[in-house]
Amino acid sequence: MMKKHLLFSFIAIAGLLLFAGCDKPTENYPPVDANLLIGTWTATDQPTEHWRFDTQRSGETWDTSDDVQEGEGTKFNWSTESDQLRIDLYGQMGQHVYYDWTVTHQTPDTLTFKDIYDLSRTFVKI
Amino acid sequence: MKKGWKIALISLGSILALLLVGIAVACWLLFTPARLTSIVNNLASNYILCENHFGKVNLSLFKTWPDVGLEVEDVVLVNPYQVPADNIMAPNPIHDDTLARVKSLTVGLDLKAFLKDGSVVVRQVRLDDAKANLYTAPDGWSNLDIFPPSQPDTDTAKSDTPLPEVIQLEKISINNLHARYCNLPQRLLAEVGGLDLHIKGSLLNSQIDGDLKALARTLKVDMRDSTGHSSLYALAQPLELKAEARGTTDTLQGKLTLALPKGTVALGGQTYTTEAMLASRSDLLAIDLPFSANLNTMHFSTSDATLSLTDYDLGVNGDITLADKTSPMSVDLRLHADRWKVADLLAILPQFITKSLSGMSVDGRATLSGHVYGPLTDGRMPLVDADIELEKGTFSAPKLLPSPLRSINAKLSASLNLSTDSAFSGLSKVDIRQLDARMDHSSLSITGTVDDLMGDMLVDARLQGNVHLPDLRPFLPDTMPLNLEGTSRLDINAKSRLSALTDMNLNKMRLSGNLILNNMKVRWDSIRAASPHLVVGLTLPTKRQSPKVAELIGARIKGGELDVVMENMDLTAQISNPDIQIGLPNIMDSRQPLAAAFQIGASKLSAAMDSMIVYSDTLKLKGSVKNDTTQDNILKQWNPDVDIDLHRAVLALGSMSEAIRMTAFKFNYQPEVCDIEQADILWGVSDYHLAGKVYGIEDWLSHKGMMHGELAFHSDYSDIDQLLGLISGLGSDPDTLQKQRVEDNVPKEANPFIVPKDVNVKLNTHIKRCIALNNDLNDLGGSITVNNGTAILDQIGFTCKAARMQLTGIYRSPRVNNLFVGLDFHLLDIQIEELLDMIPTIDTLVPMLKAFKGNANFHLAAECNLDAFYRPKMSTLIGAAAISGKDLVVIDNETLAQMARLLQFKNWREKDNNIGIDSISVEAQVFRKDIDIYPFVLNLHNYQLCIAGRHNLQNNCNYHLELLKCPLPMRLAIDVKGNLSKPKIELGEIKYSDLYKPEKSDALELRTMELKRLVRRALEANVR
Repeated sequence: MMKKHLLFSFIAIAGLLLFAGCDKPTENYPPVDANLLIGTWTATDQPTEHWRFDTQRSGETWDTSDDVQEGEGTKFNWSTESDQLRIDLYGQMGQHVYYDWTVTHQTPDTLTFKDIYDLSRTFVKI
Repeated sequence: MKKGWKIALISLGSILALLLVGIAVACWLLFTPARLTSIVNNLASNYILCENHFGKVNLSLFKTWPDVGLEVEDVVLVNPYQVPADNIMAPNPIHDDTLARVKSLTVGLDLKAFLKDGSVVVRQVRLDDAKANLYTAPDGWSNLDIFPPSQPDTDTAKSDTPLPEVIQLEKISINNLHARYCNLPQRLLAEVGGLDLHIKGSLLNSQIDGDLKALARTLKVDMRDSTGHSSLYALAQPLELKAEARGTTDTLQGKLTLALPKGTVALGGQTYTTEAMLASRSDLLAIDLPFSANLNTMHFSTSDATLSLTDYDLGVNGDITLADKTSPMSVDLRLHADRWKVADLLAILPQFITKSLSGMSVDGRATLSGHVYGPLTDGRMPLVDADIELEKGTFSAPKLLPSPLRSINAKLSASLNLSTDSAFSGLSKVDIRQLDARMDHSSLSITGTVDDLMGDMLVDARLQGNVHLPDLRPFLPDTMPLNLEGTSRLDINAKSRLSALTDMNLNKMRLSGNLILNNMKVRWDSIRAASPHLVVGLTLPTKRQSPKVAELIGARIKGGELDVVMENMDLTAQISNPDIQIGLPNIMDSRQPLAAAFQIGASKLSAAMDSMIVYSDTLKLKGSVKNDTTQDNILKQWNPDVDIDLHRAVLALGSMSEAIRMTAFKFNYQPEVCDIEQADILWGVSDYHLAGKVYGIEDWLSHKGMMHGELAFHSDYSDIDQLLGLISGLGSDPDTLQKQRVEDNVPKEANPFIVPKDVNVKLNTHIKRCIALNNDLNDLGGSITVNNGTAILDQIGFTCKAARMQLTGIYRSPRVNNLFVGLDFHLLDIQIEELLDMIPTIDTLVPMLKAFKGNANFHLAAECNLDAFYRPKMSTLIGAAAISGKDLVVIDNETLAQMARLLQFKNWREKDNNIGIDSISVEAQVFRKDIDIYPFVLNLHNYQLCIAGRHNLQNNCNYHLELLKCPLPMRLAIDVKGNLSKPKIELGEIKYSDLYKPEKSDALELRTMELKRLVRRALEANVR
């Protein structure tokens, strides 16, 4: 048992020495084209899920599979910074939910991003 | 008879006859017509001043036997005069200079007196075919002044003798006299045509014994007043008069009989004779008048006289005194008429007498006894007191009475003043001593008085009777759709002018009394009322006055039981021992809206409307209503201003399993505002105490505006879920809701709370204990607002078993299948295990929280749409939460032990083997199915740990735990992934080397910290 702890400590210290001070390399993507965002998008993995980006940096998202129609969904503001698409969803009780998505691929009709957990999703404009 | 006697008598007779013939021949020789004519003309020229002419004068023995007759033929008297052209009687009189023209004038002279002492005594006068024209000029000159004036001394001497000795008339005969008399100073014109007059009698030594018979084929009298208008006009065609008189020149007894078959009489321009009178087979006027007279005082008395107007006989007893220089003519007569037929009598009376009965029909048998007394002059009529009895009478006046009165038996006393001169005119009245009548199925009895009988009658009567209520319906205006059944005993005093009755002018009527209603059923439009016994008191005008209603009619209804049904509202009500006071304005004035002031009390009330049942031990209701037919909802139509006071009332609704009990319910309702003074309500296990004001109920019912208000809401215990169910869907169109249910395929089992629309009501609550969504809450205080489809719990503060709580919530129901709920929820100083027990969802949000024990503060802002079963629509879930705590204890478990082993925790437990945590501050956000935990730091004894990650509602997680500080100089991190029930725990990458060291943080970490602060700041901003 003692040996096992010594081994773990050794490995840990070694790892620490090897990786301490080294940040994970950041992968950069082209800046987000905000103009291409304007419009209504649906998720390829959930076609009933809609996201509408408006010109005034506002938008709404709704999912018709829940019998929620446009106008009944959740409102948000959005902004871009470099390859980041920042979503500020807000509710009527004053609560906010923030997402920073990294746009990895953008065309007029498709949008692919990943979140901080590297979960990638693709949307198509309708 | 012996022959000798016979011869003697024949011889004597022959001698007498021879003697008479001899005398006659001698007279004829002595008094030839020519000689007599000459004598008469010579005498006439001495005694007659006007132009005169006496034709042939004959001596007659047989015409005037036993007197000697002197017959003058063709007597003419001419006395010219001038009539002013502008005289008041114009165009009469017709100018005629001939005073008199007599075909034959015969004077009978007492032959014995003449033979005895040569005196000339006139015993008979006879006129045949005479015409006379008498005229008195305005200055008093008369064409009859044709005799020379008498010597004053002689006149004085003669005045002592009642009548000259030369005239001892025993017989006067006038045949076919046509005379005209015009007296301009007295504005009198009289004409008689074809008059035959025969008077027999004697006037000797002041003793009068005479008989008179007169027949005037025409007689006309025309009198004018000073303005030239007719004051008297009489025309008789013909007039027959008989009279007999016995007595002295001072006192006479006799009998006068007059018959006037046809004629016309007018006084003051009013014609008293009518066509109906003239059409009668009986004489227009007949008088049978026994009399006694005092000629000195011109006082006449009669007893058992009969005056007949056509078929109506009037017995007359009494006195008449003719006018003299000091006093006018006066009468004091007792009249009696027996069983006159009223209708026939009214039919022949002139219209001006019966005009007050215009539009009425009266009949019956009338018995009259009267007293006529007082002066009689132009414009002044004697007063009349009369007692009238009517039997088997009928009375019909469609304008007054919808049905005729019958079986009328009446005893009336009348006092009449028929004078037209305003100086003597006065009111005529009738005292109704008894008047019984029947109308339809009702019987009435009236006593009272009727004043101003000849004008606008003033009726002051007491009306008693048994009334069949349907008989009253025709009395009510057509605009009042009231049907009645039952019977009533009434005792009413009423006072009104006839004009007010005719016009139904209630402002000028006085009325008070009671109606005792039995088995009453009333229906007014869609409102029905019934009672076995009610007492209704009526007052007009009422002394009560209310600020909202100009009360004129007062009614008070008291009784045992009263049932009311309002069909429009599907309302039925039973009221025990009602005491209802109602004040109505002038309901006959169509300019005034229908209104009522009322005060209602009852010992018990039970009512049902639709599926609602109301019961109250006592009821007090006071207020007023005013109808406005232009409005479309019942409250605006009636504009109630009412104070309602209920005690121990029960309200049951079909949709409710339990009835609502109101121990006290006191409020005022008036247009636009309902002021609830006290509402103490028990419902199930809940009690509610409400007070405050609600506005705009009328507009809300009309869907034209919002109902708004603010109420204080207190309760010792409330079942909030039950309360929400009561008001669910208020103001929403049921059809619209049903349409939504169909379109959204909402099962019928789903009955979510639909927030009332068009309502903005704020409840300032203080609830000691309540149950909401199966949670017990204590000391709940704050405001609950329902605002046009949105229910808002505004900063409700309360305590539960675990913590002090504050909740701001929003609930909307835009669609039955798309409800919205938003919460701003704060739990302060909460026992974490109680928190998780109370809100299990928190375990889903922060699953690691169940590993802690102790007190914490919890803040949550979240919203989500729900379906009709209140199931969340996860695609709409968005929330943020923050949890902070100090001195917590970590509950040991296998997962924690496993992580501790991986992180090489040593001696991290306290001495008591607990795992203590100095502080914790967790921020989380939720969107749809993902819950993100922002990085937070845990201090576990000698270790400092940073935790962050995400999990979802399927309990799949992706967490990262990183050791920031430990006794050893090393950094370790682990990732926890997979299902939380059996996570996969493994070493991970170091991520937060510089977290919480701002000077060393990179942009991402700064961004993360900023978002974390934003989340917490937003959440804590609403904490009170």
